[in-house]
Amino acid sequence: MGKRFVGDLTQFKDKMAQYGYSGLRYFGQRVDDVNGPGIVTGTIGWTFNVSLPGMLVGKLKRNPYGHAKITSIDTSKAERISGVVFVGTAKHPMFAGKLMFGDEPVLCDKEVWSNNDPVAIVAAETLEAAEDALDAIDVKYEELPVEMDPEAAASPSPSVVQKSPPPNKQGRPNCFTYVPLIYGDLDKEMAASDVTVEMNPELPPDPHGTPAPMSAVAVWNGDGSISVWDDVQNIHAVPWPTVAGMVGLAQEMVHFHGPEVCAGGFGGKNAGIAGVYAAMLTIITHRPARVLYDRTEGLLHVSRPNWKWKIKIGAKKDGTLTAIQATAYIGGPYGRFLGGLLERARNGITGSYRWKAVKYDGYASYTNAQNTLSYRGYSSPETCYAVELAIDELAKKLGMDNLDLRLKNYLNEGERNAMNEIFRSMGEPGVAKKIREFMDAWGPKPSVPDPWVVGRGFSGGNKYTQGTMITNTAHLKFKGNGTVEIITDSMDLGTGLNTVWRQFVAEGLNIPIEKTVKLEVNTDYAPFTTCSYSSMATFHGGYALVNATMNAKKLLFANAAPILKAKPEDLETKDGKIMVKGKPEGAIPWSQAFPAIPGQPGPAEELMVSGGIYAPDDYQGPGKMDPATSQCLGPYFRSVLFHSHQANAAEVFVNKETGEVRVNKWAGGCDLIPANPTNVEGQLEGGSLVMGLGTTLTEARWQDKGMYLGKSYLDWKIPTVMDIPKVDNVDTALVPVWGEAHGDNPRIDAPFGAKGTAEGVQAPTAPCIANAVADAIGVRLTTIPFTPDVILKALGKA
Amino acid sequence: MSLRYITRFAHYDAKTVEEATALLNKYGEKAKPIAGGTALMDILKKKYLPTPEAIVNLKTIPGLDQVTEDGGAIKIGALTKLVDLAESSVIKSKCPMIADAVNLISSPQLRNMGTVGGNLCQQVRCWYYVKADFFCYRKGGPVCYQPGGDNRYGAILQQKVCNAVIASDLATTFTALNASLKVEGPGGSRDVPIKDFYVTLGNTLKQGEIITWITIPEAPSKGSFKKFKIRKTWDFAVASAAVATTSKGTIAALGGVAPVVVSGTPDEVTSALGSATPLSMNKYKVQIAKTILKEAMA
Repeated sequence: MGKRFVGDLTQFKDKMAQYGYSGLRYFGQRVDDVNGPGIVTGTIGWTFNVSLPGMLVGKLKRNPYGHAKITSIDTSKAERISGVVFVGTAKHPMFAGKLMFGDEPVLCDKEVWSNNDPVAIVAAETLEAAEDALDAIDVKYEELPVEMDPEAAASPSPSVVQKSPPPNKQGRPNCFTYVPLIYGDLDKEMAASDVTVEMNPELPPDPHGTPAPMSAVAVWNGDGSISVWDDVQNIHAVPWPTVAGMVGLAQEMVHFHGPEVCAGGFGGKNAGIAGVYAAMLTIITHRPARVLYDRTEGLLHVSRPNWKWKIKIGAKKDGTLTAIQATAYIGGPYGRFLGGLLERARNGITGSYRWKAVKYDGYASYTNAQNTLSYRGYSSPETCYAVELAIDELAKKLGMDNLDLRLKNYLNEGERNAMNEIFRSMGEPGVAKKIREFMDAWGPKPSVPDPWVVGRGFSGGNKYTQGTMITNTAHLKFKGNGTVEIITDSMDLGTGLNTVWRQFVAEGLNIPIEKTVKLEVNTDYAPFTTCSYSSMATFHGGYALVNATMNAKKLLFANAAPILKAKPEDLETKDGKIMVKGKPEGAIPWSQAFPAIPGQPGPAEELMVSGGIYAPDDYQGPGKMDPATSQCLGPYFRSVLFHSHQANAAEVFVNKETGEVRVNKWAGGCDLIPANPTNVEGQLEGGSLVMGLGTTLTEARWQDKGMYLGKSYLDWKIPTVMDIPKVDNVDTALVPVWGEAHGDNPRIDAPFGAKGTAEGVQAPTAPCIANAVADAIGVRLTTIPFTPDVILKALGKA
Repeated sequence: MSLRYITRFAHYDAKTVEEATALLNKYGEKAKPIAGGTALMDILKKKYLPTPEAIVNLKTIPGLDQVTEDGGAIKIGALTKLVDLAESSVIKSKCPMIADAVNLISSPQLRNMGTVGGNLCQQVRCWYYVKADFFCYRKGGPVCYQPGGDNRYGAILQQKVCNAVIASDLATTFTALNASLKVEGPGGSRDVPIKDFYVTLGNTLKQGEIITWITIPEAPSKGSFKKFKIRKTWDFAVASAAVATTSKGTIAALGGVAPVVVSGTPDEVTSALGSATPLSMNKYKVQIAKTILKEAMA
C-alpha cells in the first residue's frame, strides 16, 4: 500500500467543541461502511429490488438515428400481442407533455433529435410481451442532417438550425444559453503580459456508466395518489416535483421513495425520469408498473456533453498571472442542465487563481449529441482541464517550476476572487504541496526500456459546492431504548453518506454508532435536508444533524438539570446517559429527561428534535449577481457556498511504438477535515484515479452521424483492475482545512469542519495525466481520451 | 443485469456428433450450435442476427473436451473449455504460447465458459455488424459502413467487401501453429488446414458441419503470441500476432487486422503490413501490428 496521509485533527478540537464535538470518538474515524453487509448480500434496498404483486413491465421504444423526422408510428400490431396491456405514443394526452425545461418531449412524435429518444411506450404482463411489442411497433423515419459539434452549432450561421423557433441567443440560432464573465481590463492585462499560452482543449461526451441502470416502480393508490420508488440521487429537488408535475398531481399526492443506496449516480440519476414513465403507466393502467432501463439504455440515456474550449492565459515574467480569456462550447439535444454547467464553469476559472482580468463566454447550443445530465463535478473537471493544461504550458514557457507558479497565484482565504466573491475554505496550497511532496518522494524517474518513455505530471483542481435549492432540515427521533433514528432525505450513492451521517449523530450525542439508524428516504416524513449532488450532502446534511444534536442536548440538559440538581451547562452526555461533567456515578438515562406528558406519571416514550439551517441561502446575501458580467454585488454575496480543492500527481509510461499509456504511480489529495478518512480515500481512488483515468485514457462516446457505436461496456471502455496502478503505487492525502469563515461573514461554518469532496476529486485527474503524457512524449495533447491512435498520431506514426 | 428478452427456440441436447450434425443439417440456416454460449447469447440478446429456430447443444457430446499428445502432434477437442486449455499440462509443457493466448482472451468468467470450437467460430465484433440498427454488407445489406463511418477498429489489410476483423485469438495462434481442423458433418468428416478455414465473410463450414478436433502437427521449438488491446483485460485485439517455429520453418500470423487471419513467413507478413491499406482512422493499427509482430518474432 502506498502512502496514506491524514492530517492531524487535534488542532481543530477546540473549534469542534463549539459544534458539539465529543472528542473524535466517531468523527474523523475509519468507521466501517454500514452498507457493507447489505451490499455484499444483495439485501440492501436497491430500487430495482422493489417488486409489487401484479406489476407491469414498462419499456420504451427508442429512436436509432441521430436526427430524424418521424413520418409514421403504427402501434396496431403491438396492441394485439398477448400480454400487452397498454401501448402509448405522444398522441395520448399523458405523453404529450415536455420534460425538464420544456423542450424535451416525453415521447417524440414529429422529430427525434438524438439517438435513444423515446417514441413509444409499452406496458405488458411480462418482459417478453413488452419486448415483442417494442419489436412490433413500426416507426418510419426520414433521416435528417446532424450537427454533433457544439462549436459549429453555436455559429451565427449554422448548417442545421435545430429547433423552431430558434432560441437565437447572441445572434446564434441554435444557442439557448449564453453565460459571460467579465472582470478587469482583458486587453490591457493581456497586452501587459510577458508570456501567453493559447490552446483548444476538448473533452468528448462520456456517459456516467452507473453500476445499476435507472429503474423506477410506481403504484396507483385507491385514493388517487401514487407511490413511486425511483433510483435517484435526490428526491425533493428534482424527481418529486418532476414526476408530480408531469402526471398532473399535487406533490402531496405523490409518495416518493428513494433507494437505501443509489447504485451509483455521478449526476446521472438527478432527474429520475424513469419514475415519470412508471408513474404515467400506473395512472393509466391502475396497475403497479416498473420501468427498468437495460444496459444499453443505461449508457445512452445521459452523458457528459462534449466540451470545446478556446483558452488564452497570460503572465508576467515573474510568474504573476495576468489575464485569462476562455470560451466554452457545449451542446445537447435538449436544454437539461447545460445552462447551469456554463454558469458553474465560471467558478472553475475563478476557483483557484488570482486573475487581474477575466473574459469568459459560454455557449450552450442544440446539437444531435447524446442527451446530457449533470456529470461528476458539473463543469469543474472540464474547466480545470482547460485551465490546468494552460498553466502547465505557461510554467514551461516561463521556465518556472509548475508548483511554484501555482503557489504564487493561488487565492488566499478571505480574498475576493474574479467574481468578487469572498473566497472560503481555501486549502489548495496545502494539498498541492503535499501531493508534490509525495511525487518528489518517488525519487528520480525510473529508466525504462525503449520504446517506453516516462513522464510526470501534476495538476491542481477546484470544485465549488452550491447551496441553492435547499431547505436544510433533519429530524432525530430519540427512542426510550437509547437508539436515535435519523430522518433526512438525500441518498448514499455508494459514497458512504449513510455511514457519515450516523457518525455525525454519534459524535454529536456521544453515543455508539450502533445506536443510530438512518430511516428510509421518502417524501412522506423526511424533511428536505439536502441533495446528493454538488458534493453538498456531507456539509448541509451534516450541519443539520449536528445542529439537531445540539438542540437535543439543550432540551435534554434543561429537563435533566432539576433531576441532577445541577445547571444545564454543567451537564454532559455519554452513551445515552446524562451526568454532571466528570461524575458518571449519578448519571440518568436520556429517557428520564424526555419531556413530561401532562397528567401522566412518567416522561414521553420518544423525543423528536429537529435541526438545520433554515435560511441556507444567507450565504448569498445581501447582494446579487450582475448577469452581464457575473460579478457578485454587495458585501457578502457569493455564487457558491465554498470551494474544495484537489491535487494529483502521476507518473506515466508511454510506449512510442504502440501508443499505450500506463499510469505507473499516482498520488491524489483533497482539502478537508474528513468525516471518515476511509470513505474519502475511496473517493480519491475510485473517483479521481479510476474514473478519471478512464475518461482520460479510454472512454469516449464514438458515433456515426449521431448513431452511437459504443452501446455496451465492451465498446465503452471503463478501466478494469488491470488498467490502474498497483496499490503500492497509489498515495492519498487528506489535508485539513477549517471550513469556518472568518472576517466579514460569520455565518458560514461547517459541521465539525467537514466538507464534501466526491465530485471534485476528478477535477485534477485528466489535466494531471495530460501533463504527464506531454512530459513523456514532448508533445502537448489537448483532446482526451489519449487512445493509442491519438498518441501515435502525435508522434507522427499514424 | 440485462433483462433483454430472448425469442423462443427449440433446444436439443445432442448426444453424439452424428446427432448434432443431423439436427443442424435438418434446420439448416435456422439452427445454431451452442457450446459455451458466450458468443451465441450475445446474438440472442442483441438480435443483430436472426434468432435461430433451434439451438443444438454440443456440450452433451462426450469425449470432445480432451487435450492429448498423439506422437509429436497435439490434439485438442473442440469442446475443451478455454480455461482447461490454458491449464492443460500438455499445452503448458509442449506449447505454452497457446496458454499465453488463452489467458489474454476476454475475462476469467468467459474463459470458464467459452470453448475452443466456439472461439474459432465466433462472429466478428465490428460495431456496425453487432448492432441491429445497421444492416451491413456482412449481414446481407448493401454496404459496409466502416469506410464512410468510424473505422478506428476496422481492417487494415484484405478488406474487400467487409472491413470487420477476425476476433478469435486462437485462430491467430493455431494458424501460426499450422493447425488442421477436423470438420464433421452430414457428408462425413474432412480435415481443413486452418489457413483455408476463414474467408472474408466467415468460414468454410458447410450446412450441418461442426469442428470436432484441432490438430497441431508439431509442437513448436519456439513460439510466441502477442496481443494489443485498449484495455488490459476484457477486450478484443486491436492487433494480435502469433509466431511459431517448427522443423518445417516459421509461420507468422496476424489477427485483428483483416477479416481473416493474415499469415505467411515472417518476411511475407512483414511485407504485407508494409503495403497495408488502412482506412481513414486506423493507420495507427499498422504501426501497432508492426510493433507486436516484431515482439512476437523476437
